Amino acid sequence: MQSFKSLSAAARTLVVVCILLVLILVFWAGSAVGYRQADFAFRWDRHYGDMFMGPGSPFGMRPMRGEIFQANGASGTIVAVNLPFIAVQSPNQTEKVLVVGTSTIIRIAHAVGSTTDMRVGAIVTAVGTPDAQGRIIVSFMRVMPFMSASTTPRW
Amino acid sequence: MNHTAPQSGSGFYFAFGAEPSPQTADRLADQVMERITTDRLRRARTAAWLYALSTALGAVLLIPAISYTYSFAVDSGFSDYLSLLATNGADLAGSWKAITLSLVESAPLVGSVLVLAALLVCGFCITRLVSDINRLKHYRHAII
Repeated sequence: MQSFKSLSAAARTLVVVCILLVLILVFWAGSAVGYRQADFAFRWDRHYGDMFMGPGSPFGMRPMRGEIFQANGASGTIVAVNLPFIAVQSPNQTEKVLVVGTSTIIRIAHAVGSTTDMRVGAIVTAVGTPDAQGRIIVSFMRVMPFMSASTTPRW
Repeated sequence: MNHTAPQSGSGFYFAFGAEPSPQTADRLADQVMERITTDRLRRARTAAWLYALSTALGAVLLIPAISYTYSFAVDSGFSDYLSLLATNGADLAGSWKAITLSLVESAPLVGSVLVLAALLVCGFCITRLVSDINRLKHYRHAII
């Protein structure tokens, strides 16, 4: 505080402006990320019935649980495989549908993997971009080898 | 002590009607100093107790804060994304935007703020506690 007081008026103004810019940047980043998450959660919720109970399901839209979650990644246990779609259940009991394409990089730890390595019960971590149906188009996916959620702890 | 004659307007002169003897003045000064030191000692002791309690409270709050942050990081997948970045960092070069957004979205921000606040409270209180204990030792020495 003493060193701040000893600065000239111009330097003090510059410091205050820099702090304000950082705060504005953090606020803007928070808003942008929050908007993306909310948008994804809305689309996910809207298409939940189609994704998990089939098209034209009478259950249709799933009641919103009032939560938002990550739009660019998923980690958890594979609960269903119907290529190119994979359903993954996160530790917080949220299911997401991942779309695996030809451009998706798949790794089993460090080794190169393929879609045949994806089995129900495998633990995966994937990142990608959300689509309009509330799914995630996976760009990179890591499958943990020899792990099953029922037998092995996640850490 | 070097005593000078009181001025005609001095309160002591008017109250007692005579100049105090050097012994009386010394005794009075000693009593005043002892009173001041005792008062400072009491205040330092109270402050030390308060800081000790605050440190304990901060430490007690730190445990659930760390536990909450850890469970949030595991549930949100933050730890998985970090692990992904650490082990497959080179493969993720093409997906840097997705991994960055995943990390930001899953980061345990509230928990981190709570842990940081508890750590700051603990650190501040410990610093003040040590300073107060040193002051207590100093005042006790002065009284003895």
